[in-house]
Amino acid sequence: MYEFNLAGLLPYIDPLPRAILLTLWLSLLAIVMSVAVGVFGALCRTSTNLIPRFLGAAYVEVLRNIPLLVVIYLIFFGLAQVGLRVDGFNSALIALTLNAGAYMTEIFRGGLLAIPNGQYEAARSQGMTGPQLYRYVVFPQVFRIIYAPLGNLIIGIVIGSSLASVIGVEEVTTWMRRAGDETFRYMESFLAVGVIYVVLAQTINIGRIATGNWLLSKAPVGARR
Amino acid sequence: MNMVRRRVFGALAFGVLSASFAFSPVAEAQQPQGGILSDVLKRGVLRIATIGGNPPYSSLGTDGKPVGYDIDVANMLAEQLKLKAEFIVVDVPGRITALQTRRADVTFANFTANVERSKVIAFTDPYVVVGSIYMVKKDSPIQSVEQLNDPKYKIGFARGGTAEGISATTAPRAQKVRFDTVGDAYLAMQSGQVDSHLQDSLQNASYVAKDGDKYRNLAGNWSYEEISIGLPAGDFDWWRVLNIFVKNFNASGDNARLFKKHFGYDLPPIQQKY
Repeated sequence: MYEFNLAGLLPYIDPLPRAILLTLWLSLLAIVMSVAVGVFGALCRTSTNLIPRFLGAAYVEVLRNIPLLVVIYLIFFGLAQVGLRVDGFNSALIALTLNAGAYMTEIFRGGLLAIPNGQYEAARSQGMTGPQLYRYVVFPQVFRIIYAPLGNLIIGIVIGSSLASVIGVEEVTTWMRRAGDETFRYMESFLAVGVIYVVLAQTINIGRIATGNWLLSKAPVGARR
Repeated sequence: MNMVRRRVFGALAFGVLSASFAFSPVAEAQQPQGGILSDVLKRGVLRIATIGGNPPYSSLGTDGKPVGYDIDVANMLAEQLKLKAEFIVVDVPGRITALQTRRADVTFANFTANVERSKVIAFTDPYVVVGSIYMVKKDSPIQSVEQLNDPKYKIGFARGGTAEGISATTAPRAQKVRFDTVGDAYLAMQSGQVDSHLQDSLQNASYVAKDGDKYRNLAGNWSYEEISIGLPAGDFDWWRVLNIFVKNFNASGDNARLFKKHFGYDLPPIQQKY
């Protein structure tokens, strides 16, 4: 009775490019914003001052232990109930950023901790200012260390963006469910979207590698390997 | 280069894996049909697909088990067949998939019989007839469906249901926001994330009874839908048994009694005058 037929999805092909762009846009924004959150969080967590260290740790432990879906619901429905209405796209973006930002914090912190204290002291003794120290000594090395784990997390963000479908954001998963619901061709729509996510995640990942290579080529000679 | 090769290999491995997942259910669906009636009698268990978050038809109780009108009807069927009822909670489109994949023997879930769905599954005669109504907040500026048909307004509903088509014909210009359950769509209207919730008319009556001071309906009933038991296509004996159950259930007064218990008012006529 059932025959595999990808052509059954053809009537739903028109809205697909838009859905793909929305997934891409949501993922890219979340990646950029969570990197910013991660750098800031890691600087807090490695601070010598107790208060930012505590706040950073609290943020990571709380957000890392709440499922992304729950964070999405909290922002979209929860905040709306107390009067702060954030639309579907922005709710998903904030939730993804908060969630991924916690993981980013840990990745960047790991990178920062890998730099021996002696290097800070050596840089200071050479008369480097704080920004110079980070720009020329710390970050180029940190970047090389976090480069690989960053890739995993970035793919995680692209995949996680599919949860935006539960609050009606018209991204790829929403398209998949609608095409499946209306054609009753679930296997085809699930499979098509599986392939789309692989391509999207890998496209962004290749972007990461290219950016990484470019940044490393800019790094001081000693930091290259 | 090596990295690229490994990446390509990884993608291929994923493809093969997903393809093998993809084709195993196909093989299952092509097996000769053993007859659901004899299967369930042998098994001693009736597998019933239903949805959560759709009171008073079906929702999950505090203990996580499904409760509601549809659940009581399904239990009555299991009882008459002397079978143990086993509920499988699915989402709105899952009502169809559960039957297509033979994970369930029947679907009891505020399930509208229509021609489109009948291409892939089968339905019995109806046990309830419902319509569709747009609900808005009491203080909403929207007074009519005509006014709601505007790109600046959002209509919320559960995906995979008949609301998709009804909203497309009655308010094509408004934005559509699709949720996983009816409960989520209702919550979205309550919290102001959508301007209107397109819902089942009988469910609407129970919402009005409960929250009538906070919400109101826009004039008009936008569909005629026969709520029926869903079953896999192509099994005449199974359909015959279920249809006799529905006829007796309607005629005996059991339906009227269960309906009143869950909805709080009398069962509207099932026979329609054309």
